Amino acid sequence: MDLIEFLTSERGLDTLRAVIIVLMGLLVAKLTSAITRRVSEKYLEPQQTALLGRFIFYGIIILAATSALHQLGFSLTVILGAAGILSVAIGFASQTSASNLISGLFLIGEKPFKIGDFIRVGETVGEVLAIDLLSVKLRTFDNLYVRVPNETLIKSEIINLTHFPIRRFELKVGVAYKENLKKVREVLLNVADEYPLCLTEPKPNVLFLGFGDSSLDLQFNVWSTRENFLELRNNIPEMVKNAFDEADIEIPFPHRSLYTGSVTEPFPIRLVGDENKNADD
Amino acid sequence: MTETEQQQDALLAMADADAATKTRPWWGDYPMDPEQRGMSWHIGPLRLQARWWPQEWRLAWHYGDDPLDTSVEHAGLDDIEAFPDMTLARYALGKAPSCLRLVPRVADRSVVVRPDIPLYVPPGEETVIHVSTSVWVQVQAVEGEKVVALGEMPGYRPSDSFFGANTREGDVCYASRSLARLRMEDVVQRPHRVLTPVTVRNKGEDSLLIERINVPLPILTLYASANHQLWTQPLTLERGRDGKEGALKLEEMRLPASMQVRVLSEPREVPDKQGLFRALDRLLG
Repeated sequence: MDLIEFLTSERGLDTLRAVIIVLMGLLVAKLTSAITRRVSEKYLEPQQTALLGRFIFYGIIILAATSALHQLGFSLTVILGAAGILSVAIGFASQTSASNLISGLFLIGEKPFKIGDFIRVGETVGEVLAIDLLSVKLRTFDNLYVRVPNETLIKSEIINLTHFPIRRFELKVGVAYKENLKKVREVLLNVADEYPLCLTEPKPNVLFLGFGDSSLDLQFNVWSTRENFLELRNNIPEMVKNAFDEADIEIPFPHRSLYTGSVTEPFPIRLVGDENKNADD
Repeated sequence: MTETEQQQDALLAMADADAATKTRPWWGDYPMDPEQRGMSWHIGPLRLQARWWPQEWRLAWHYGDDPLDTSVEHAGLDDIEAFPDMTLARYALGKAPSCLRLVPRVADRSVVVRPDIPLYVPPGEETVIHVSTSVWVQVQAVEGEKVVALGEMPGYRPSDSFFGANTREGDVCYASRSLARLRMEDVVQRPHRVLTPVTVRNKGEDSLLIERINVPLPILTLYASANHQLWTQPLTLERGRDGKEGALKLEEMRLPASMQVRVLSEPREVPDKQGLFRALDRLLG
């Protein structure tokens, strides 16, 4: 009885109108945001599409909520004034969030990476799953979910591993001092030539790094597409080792000469071969 | 008729004369006997095996050591012979088809051809460069009207390469070294290679250096001549008077009266209108 009275009263009708406005606002917000996303995905990056959709959705919701409050008899001036004071209070209380929010806007504008790229931030390497206003979500190679605050991203160095279509793999290798460098170069370039995943252009090359402690140090540079990079990185060292073995090129390891000094006795030496020979006799 | 066209006719006529001496081409239909379990092919360096297991086809392929091998052989097969570096693939199929079909196709990416020695085309000159690239072999299972494409593999896997003004922008493609033969009589015919005649016309005021040519194979139709040589549509690259802008034209394969040329496979991609008119540096390096 009370409910019917309430609904038929002036106050009740206003409340009903306010509820209808909120519901309609929700519906319109959802529809408009979905349509905007669908239309804009042809022209914008995925993260920009998502952001635009969210802005439109929350914009309409705020409008609908304000209209509903107005319908209920709240004065907008008072609400806005209260919101002003509240926003100052919230602003002080949430400096970090605000900083992340601004950083997020800069990140979306600057576009150093996009969804699906692999990036390195500090020690973390992973695939970008989402670029949101407060943080960027990554999936690492060992399938962990990492949330990096936008403020951290803006401050730190980001390496985008998949920005360009091709990548260079650098293999540092040392050969013994006795080896002919021209032959070594030929063997290395031949490895690149025979491996289809190694790009013909840009050309592979061999850089001489210097005279090392126990080896001539070289750097073998080969290019691959970003999709094949991991496979190439795994296979090239093995192929170089096999090619060196086949061409009888030595990969040396650090040599140590033991010297006991002039005042000490020489090391005792036992000839194993002679011992066996004597045993046979 | 220009000198270029005369050259093309000469080659086509030469090919026609050889036709009678050749056996069947490696492509086409290979009927399966009910007792037969599989087949094998040698197509140049490609060694391909297909074996029927209950409910599935198994394809296995690997490459011989000699990329210039020209042998073509076909034989029955009882079991797949294992090789250490072979690729094996299975295709589920409810019923054993009555026939296997080999279809030659053009490469699935553009091929960048680099002449062994840089070639200059002086101003006002035009020349035809014969570019040879590897064929792709598609294996199809055919049962009446029903055709199921099983697998596709290159006749010889070319190296990957990158064609672009810098390392930031460009296209991933295949690389091929070429002698860039100008006389058709010098072109060596190989069963697993596709020839593309590229006419380069220099209307600029200085010599045009051809260090590399980007051949957009996926937009080309594949033909076979009567002597079982594979061809694509001829291409024409024209350098304009300003020396920068260039046009790429696709031409119809001309059919001299004495020559039979038939279409074997349609282009993989439909070229957009802009694709046929590109900046010259996108085609010539």
